[in-house]
Amino acid sequence: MQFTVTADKLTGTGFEQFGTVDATASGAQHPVIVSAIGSATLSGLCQSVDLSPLPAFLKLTAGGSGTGGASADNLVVDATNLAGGSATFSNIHIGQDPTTFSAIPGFNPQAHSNTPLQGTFGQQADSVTISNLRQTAYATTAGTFTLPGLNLGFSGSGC
Amino acid sequence: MAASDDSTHSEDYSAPEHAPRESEQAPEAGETAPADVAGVTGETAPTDAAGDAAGTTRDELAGAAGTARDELAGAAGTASDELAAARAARSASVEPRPGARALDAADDTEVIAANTSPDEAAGPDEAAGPPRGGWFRRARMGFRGWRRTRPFWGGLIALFGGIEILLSERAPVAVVVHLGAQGLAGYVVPVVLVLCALLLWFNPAQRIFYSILAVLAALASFITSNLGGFVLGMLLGIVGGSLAFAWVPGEPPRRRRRRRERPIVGRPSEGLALVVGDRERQAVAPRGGDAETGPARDPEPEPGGGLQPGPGHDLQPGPGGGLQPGPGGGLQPGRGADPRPGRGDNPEVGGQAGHLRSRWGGRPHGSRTVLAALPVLAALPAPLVLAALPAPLVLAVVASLPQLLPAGGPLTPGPARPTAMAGRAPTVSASPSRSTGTASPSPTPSGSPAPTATPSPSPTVAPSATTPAPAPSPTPSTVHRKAASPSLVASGSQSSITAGTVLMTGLSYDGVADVQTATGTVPMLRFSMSSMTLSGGTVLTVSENGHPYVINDSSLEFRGNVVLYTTRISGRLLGATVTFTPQDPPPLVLPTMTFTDVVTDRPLTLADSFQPADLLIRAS
Repeated sequence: MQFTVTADKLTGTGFEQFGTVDATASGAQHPVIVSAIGSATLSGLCQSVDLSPLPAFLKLTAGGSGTGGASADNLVVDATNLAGGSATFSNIHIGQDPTTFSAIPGFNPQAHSNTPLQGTFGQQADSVTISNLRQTAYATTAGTFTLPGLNLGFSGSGC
Repeated sequence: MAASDDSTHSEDYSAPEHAPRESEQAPEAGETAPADVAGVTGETAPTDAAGDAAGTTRDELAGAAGTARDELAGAAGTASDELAAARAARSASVEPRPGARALDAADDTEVIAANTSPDEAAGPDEAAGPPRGGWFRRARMGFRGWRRTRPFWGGLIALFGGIEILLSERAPVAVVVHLGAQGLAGYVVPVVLVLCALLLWFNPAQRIFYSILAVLAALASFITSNLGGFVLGMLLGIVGGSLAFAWVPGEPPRRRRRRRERPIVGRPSEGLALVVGDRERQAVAPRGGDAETGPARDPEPEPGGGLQPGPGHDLQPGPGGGLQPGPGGGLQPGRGADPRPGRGDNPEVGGQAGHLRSRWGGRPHGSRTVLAALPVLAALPAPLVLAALPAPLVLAVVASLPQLLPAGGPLTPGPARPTAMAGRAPTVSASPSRSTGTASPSPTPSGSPAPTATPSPSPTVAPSATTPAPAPSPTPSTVHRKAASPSLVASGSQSSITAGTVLMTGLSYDGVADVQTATGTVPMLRFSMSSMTLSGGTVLTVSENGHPYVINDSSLEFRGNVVLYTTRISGRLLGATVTFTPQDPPPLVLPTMTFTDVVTDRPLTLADSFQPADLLIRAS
């Protein structure tokens, strides 16, 4: 089940990204892009799941203005789609073998991949800033997820 | 005296063309001058000078007229022949004595010394005349003569064009285009243009060739040198080259005069030169020239000859006889052959006239005393040698053409390799090792020599996976290029970045680096730059486990310590498609390069800062 994650702005330190294949319970395989951020702050976070055929969305918002934003440690998002208005990465390495990533201390990319990552394509950066982030994800995990101003409910429209 | 002076004045003004005739008559009218004319020997002249200062001045007048005549002859090549003659005659008549002497002074300090004695004799009105005017006039006349014997204006305009193009290379414009080896050609072409312009001046005999080359260089500069110095220099070069091309030596009046003078006066000495060579002719020919033809045809050598002994009396001790012929000899043979001896021997008016004239007419054969014996042969090698001179230039231009299209790959595969960075030799051993699959650790070595060996490190994914994992070639035997930073392990996936335009600044090509991958090292081109901007449909495609991952951006901007490793980069540089690989690395790169329609395979990119705009990553 895919869901949509949006944020007005994402800032993070320690960024790693690589591709893998997620398998759902039904056995279907979905290639995804795994984005991992060691320490992330998301302002205006919004997460929604399309409940079709029900005409409704399960919608979560947090980190609105005045809250300082939602923060997460070791945030990992498996997305099929990631878009950003503008982005800045510092000290980026594009095309590096994910198994040799070092941007997030203590983070093992292979633990988040069903396929062997050795020899595959990935990118890492010391820090990342993405505005108007929008992802279509299969999974989100985080070591710690702090969601100030959390609001979870049904909505007629998604994020 | 005064009367004759006046008459000379008036007639000079009214009918300048007859100035020579005037001077011819003047000596006859005067009391002493005829003696000079009659007594061509040096002995009589000194007595004249000693006996009568007026005679001296008269001689000077005659000499001035002779000078005027000389100038007339010198300016003969012009369309405004009469005008020049009028000016010259005026200069001689308005300030007869100082003018004449000042003219002399132009070349020889000895003559300046000679000026003093007549000054004393003739009185203060001498000093009234500004000698500088004459000097300038003489210089101007000389320059005019020089100018009119060559495509001066065409050369000048072409010269300006070349200089303008060269200057435009240094223009502080941010958009100055420098691409590939073209930066070099950008200088070569205008330099060729400048050289052509100069050669048009100093070797006008080959003007057709130089002018055509100048036009071609000007046209080429449009491509190579800032659009031909922003068009202006190119236009100047074309116009100048065309003018020079159209230039022909001499106009009808001058030809007539030449025909009249040359065959009769000049030939004897040239004929003598055939026999005795230049030196001897200088001593011998003048006498003959003076005695036989000079007086009969040309009156002015005589007045000139008469003049010299007068003031030159103390000035030139011995050469009364040797001197006299000087003017005649210096004048007529000088034009035919060697200017220098004429000048050296005859510092006087006649000699100077000879000098002027010889500079004028004698140039093509000029100063080839050794070869003077065979004038034809002498004339031949000169153009040949000088024609051969630009040949290396042309070759240089042609040789730079391949590099001009800064193609390393398909266009110039040969030269690209030799000029490549050091240590590329191992490619040879690298590829065999790859093909044989020696020492491949985990993956099964495929027999195919292609680097797309399918070690398929992904067991989960079907064999359809074309994971072109790195070549299993960790053969350490190769003399290796620099290794990438050891901590850096590149992806082995098939990936590529395509972009409409890639602008690289602060670019340098660091050579081929052995980049670590999970399955061994892979030779990659290493470029470092201060910034790299990709725009126009930037797509990073990664094929992973049979699934493409696509990153679309409207633009990608890398800044600060940008390092790009790639196994292959291809694109278009100024319309030419180029491909660089470790086997075929770029011959050279310029600090700023712009590729269009670029494809970079297996890019490994490091940067301090990375800013994608409108980032969109999709997995499917």
